[in-house]
Amino acid sequence: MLLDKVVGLMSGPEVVATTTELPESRVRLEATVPAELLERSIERAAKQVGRNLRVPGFRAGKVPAKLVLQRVGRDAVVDEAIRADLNDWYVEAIRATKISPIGNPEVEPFDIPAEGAAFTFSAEVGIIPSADVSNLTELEVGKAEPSADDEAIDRELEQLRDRFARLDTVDRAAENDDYVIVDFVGKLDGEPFEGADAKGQMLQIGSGHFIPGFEEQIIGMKAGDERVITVTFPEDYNAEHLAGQEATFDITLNEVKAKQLPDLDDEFALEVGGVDTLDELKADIKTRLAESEEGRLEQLFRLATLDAAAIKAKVEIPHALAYEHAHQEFHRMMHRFEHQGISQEIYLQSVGKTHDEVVDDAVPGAEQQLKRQAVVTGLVAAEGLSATDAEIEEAVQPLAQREGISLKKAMARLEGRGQIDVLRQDLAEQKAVDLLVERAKAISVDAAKKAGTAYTPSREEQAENPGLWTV
Amino acid sequence: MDATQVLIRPIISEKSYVLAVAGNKYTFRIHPDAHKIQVRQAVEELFDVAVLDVRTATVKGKPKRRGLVRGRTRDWKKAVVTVAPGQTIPVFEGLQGLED
Repeated sequence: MLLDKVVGLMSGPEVVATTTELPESRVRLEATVPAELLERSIERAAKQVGRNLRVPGFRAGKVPAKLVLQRVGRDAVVDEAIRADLNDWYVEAIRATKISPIGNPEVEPFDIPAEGAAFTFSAEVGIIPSADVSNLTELEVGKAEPSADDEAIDRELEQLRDRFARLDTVDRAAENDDYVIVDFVGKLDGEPFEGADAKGQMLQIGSGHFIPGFEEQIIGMKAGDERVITVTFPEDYNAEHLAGQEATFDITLNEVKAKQLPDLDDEFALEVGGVDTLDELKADIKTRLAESEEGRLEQLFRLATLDAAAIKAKVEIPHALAYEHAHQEFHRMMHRFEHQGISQEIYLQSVGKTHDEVVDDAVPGAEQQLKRQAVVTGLVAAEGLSATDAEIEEAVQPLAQREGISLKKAMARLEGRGQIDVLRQDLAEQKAVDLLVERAKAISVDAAKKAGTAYTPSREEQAENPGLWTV
Repeated sequence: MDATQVLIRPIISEKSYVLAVAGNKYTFRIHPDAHKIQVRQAVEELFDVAVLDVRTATVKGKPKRRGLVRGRTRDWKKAVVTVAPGQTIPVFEGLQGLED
């Protein structure tokens, strides 16, 4: 059934389009919608208009398209039809021309076509620029040496110690960071109130989980001590009848427990890492850190290579284009958030910026992304890279397995959504990057900084400037 | 009776639309005293088509009541005219009826 649908979509007249290149990495798109397609669209629009049209002799919504056209006027209905379907036609036209647009097109005012005529419209849209990549063989890209310094190892060890810590009962007064086990009864004006008593409650002093002042006033108590403390519920407390109220709590301290960090010795090494000595454990951690660092650098090196190529090929992205791209990406992100129930207002509030500020901040990143894309696009074209059918099947295989369907079915499904072409493109682009990385020569970061080429950023640089790490 | 007196106006409704599209049958309100022969002649004269069949019916007026006053709308006569295949009468293409 799915296949039928696909075939049905494929057959019949299609939107045809031509493009002319304009400066500033824009193209002009001239598209023609065949009369037959337009006619179908008009029918749909007439039906839509007819829903709210009362014609004597007809029930609402049952007025034939022909009569709607006659009653409302053909131009009005055709206008409606074009408005409704222009988006789809634009997408089809884009697909037909195989260009990769960025942002929203500027569609020029169009003429209402005469009866039986095809509909033509033109639009201008930004496209990913294609970089001239003819002299990119001698790329030099800075690559940091993967290293795990002692500090990182110590940090890791501390974390391990904390994770393997034991809570031991101690015979002393409670201090900050201790864990205590308490019974307590809360009273408002001397009367116990609901939900304010507990027995054997464990809490960490200084964790801030309780009402402010509660934990602090336990400090200094010993096991078996009793104390009455007074606390004020914060003004913004959840239970309204308690907010801002002063309450007393009768507290009995049962036990004071302190966190015992294990000693850093061979025994610890055995427990944590299953190795005999602490030094071995350190060596283990070192290799692990180095491996993850190596992986991280490998990823960054790919990106840095693209950046280096962009610098060498002097790729320029018009600001308007970068802005468009940033804008588009922002809205895509918002769309994803909305699926998770986060509205745009909430998001903007949480980052404390306006819509325009967020987009403006994203522009440099978008520019960077477009530069990389330009290099990749240029390379795919220059090297004539493409993905073979076998490679596509290989890429689809995991999906088919996950969904528990045959490879053929998975392919058909993707084809129906037009995703095979996307995949083919992706694979070709990956090849382009592979090729570029293969040809690139790794040099030290310092040398790269001097030569003015791109390099893999350190963790600090990456955190400081996400998405933008070239000189 | 003159042809324009026989045919009062075409009836444009869901039912008549379906008949026209599917069966090449056109529906008219006609003069209450006109008979099938007159309708055939009138249609052939006015629209220049070959009529295969004419069916007529007197449509009873609807009972209406306004307060205690009972009354009824006027009875009227309609004719469904079958036209030779391939021939059409442009009633749905904007012919807003004959002059009443």
